[in-house]
Amino acid sequence: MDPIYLAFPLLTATPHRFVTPADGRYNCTAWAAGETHRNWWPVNFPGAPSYYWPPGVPRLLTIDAFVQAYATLGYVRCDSSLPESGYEKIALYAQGELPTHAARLRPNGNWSSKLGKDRDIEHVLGGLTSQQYGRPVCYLRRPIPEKKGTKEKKGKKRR
Amino acid sequence: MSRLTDLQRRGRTANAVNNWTIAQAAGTAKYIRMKPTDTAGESQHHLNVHNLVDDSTEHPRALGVRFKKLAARWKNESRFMSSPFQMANLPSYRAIIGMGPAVIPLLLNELSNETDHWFFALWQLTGENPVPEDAAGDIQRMAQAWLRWGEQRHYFTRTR
Repeated sequence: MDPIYLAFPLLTATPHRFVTPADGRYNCTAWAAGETHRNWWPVNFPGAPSYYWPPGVPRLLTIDAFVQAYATLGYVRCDSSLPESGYEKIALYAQGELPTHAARLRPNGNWSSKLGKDRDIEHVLGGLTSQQYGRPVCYLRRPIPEKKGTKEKKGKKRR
Repeated sequence: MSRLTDLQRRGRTANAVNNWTIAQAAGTAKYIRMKPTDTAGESQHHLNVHNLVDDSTEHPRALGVRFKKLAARWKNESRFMSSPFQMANLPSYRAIIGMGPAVIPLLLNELSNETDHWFFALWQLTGENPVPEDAAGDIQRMAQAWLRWGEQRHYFTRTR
């Protein structure tokens, strides 16, 4: 049995799809932020190896620090995990008060997660509720950014 | 020897810095037992609390076998974790740190074979952090920085 089903037993009963092979270059927090070349985490031991954390955001293992980290990308708290037209969303998972995982909402209504050093998967939000990740506790949203160059291309067409 | 004394002064957590000194030869760690008076109280406390350190004169081959087993267990246990804290707090990882500086060449060799989050262990064992600030979180660059550090201090030789 794939160990993923031992770590996340609810996946066995919910729809999911493996998208990419295991890759340790990025973690869930980076993936939710749209990055695939580094790990994000608020490591805060003086002199210890550091992981990326947005400048100016407290390096604290709290939901609020994670909210502030994604706020640097334009995300704000929202009440619902449901898809909203014109918005992209992030869900934060926690064990009690401790953040453990971040997932991002795909346009098709599924959630996309990088499972630590393992694979990217598409899943329903509750599929990763587990002893390891806890459960989703906070949702963030931002307007879907306009794709780079869209305006210029439209402008050229008008001419 | 002066470097070891410096490490002792730092009083890093569970490791055997206080019990062992290392001589490296061709990438193989050799070690000798130090006098009990060299044992710092703080580290000894950690050793007792976590019971992580094998206090015997372990043969390098046996050390290598034990390291491989622990490393494999840690990789399996940490595969779904995103938090370096969680990864470093697993018993298998702490046990590797507890094996002391003799595992530094093994960690660097492991890092050269497969990039993974061994940085915290290396920091704990050496008291150093050669990773430039702009490489934070980029584990390939972090690994390269540690491998360069290891080469410069003759802990490790890259197979070219």
